[in-house]
Amino acid sequence: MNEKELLLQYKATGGLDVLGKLYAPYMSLLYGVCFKYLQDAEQSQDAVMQIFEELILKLRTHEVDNFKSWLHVYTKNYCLMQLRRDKRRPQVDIEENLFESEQKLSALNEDRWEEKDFEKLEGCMQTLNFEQEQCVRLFYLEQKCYKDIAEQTGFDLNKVKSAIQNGKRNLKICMENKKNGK
Amino acid sequence: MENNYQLSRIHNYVHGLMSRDEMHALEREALDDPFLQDAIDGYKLQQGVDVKQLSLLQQRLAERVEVQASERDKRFYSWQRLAIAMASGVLFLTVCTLILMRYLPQQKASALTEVELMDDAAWEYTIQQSDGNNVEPVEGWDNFELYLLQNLHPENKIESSAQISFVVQAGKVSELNISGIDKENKMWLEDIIQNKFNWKGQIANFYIVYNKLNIK
Repeated sequence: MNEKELLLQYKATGGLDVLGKLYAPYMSLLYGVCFKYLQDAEQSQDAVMQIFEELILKLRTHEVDNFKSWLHVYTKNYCLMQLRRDKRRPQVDIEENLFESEQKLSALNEDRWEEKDFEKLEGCMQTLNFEQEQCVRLFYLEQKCYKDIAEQTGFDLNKVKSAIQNGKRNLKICMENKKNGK
Repeated sequence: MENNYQLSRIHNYVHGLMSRDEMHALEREALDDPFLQDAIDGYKLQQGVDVKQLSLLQQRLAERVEVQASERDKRFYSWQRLAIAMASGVLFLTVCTLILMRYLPQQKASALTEVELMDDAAWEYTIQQSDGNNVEPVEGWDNFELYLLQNLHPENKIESSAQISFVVQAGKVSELNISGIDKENKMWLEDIIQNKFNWKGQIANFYIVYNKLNIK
């Protein structure tokens, strides 16, 4: 039974064993996500269980198309709410989250690229700042990992990561502008 | 299982156990999968994957699922019990109704014979005419029999056959002779023959036969 069938079955029967089957495969990833925000092992474990409790009702009433990404967003929101309740300032990189939400929005309309698109891409590469251009080139064209790029460029590992994420985002914006401009 | 594989990749990535190509592949995947990226970030912060912790979590989930399963079983059984109770209640009522429907009309029909049943037997009188008898009540033998039956009292009923003979002259009964019954009944029967009925014919010679009808 696939995820969609499990979702439908749970919605129809409300059987926790079905929801368990749906939820269990994501638990380890969810724990990681919770830890990222809550930064406490106990709290993260409780959060994973508490989210399951909330899903018991939510999944019976809500229509969910893509369970994986829905679960990710739900978990993130749960953790942020948790932090707000505890009056702790969530340490979330705004750039990174912006990138993620944009990435989600544009993930669906990925077109096939033609020759002229690659020319446009080269043009757009020139518009990136030095760090971003270098990191994007090394990551996407030379297929190097973050660690190698950090070693080669002397940038901090986190800087490499955000440079690639931001570079990718800027490239996308640039490409879209060119497309609309023609 | 795919997620166990993913978890071991995260573990290897965080602990630097991956080749450069593998690292690149995972990083690239994570760029398109924010869920994976967040999880990697989390485990990086925790400085590794604690498998024990995660299996404890799986256990907690299993226990939680188990709670509902047993609750549901309990609910199911009590629901089942209720259904059985209701079904047997309905069945009981149906059987009662059927019994009532079967016996009520019969009780009504038997109400007529109720008085006779008290005596555990019913009886009737029939007239057997002997040779030479040529009399007949003006009212008819049937009425005579019925009269006997209706006017009998338990105390003076005739429980054996009575032989009767008399002569009718000018409508009057004379030379009346009754045998086979006791004195008291004899007087009672004489009164009936002489005063309650009119006779036609001349010579009477008949039996009043007592028949006991067993009802039970």
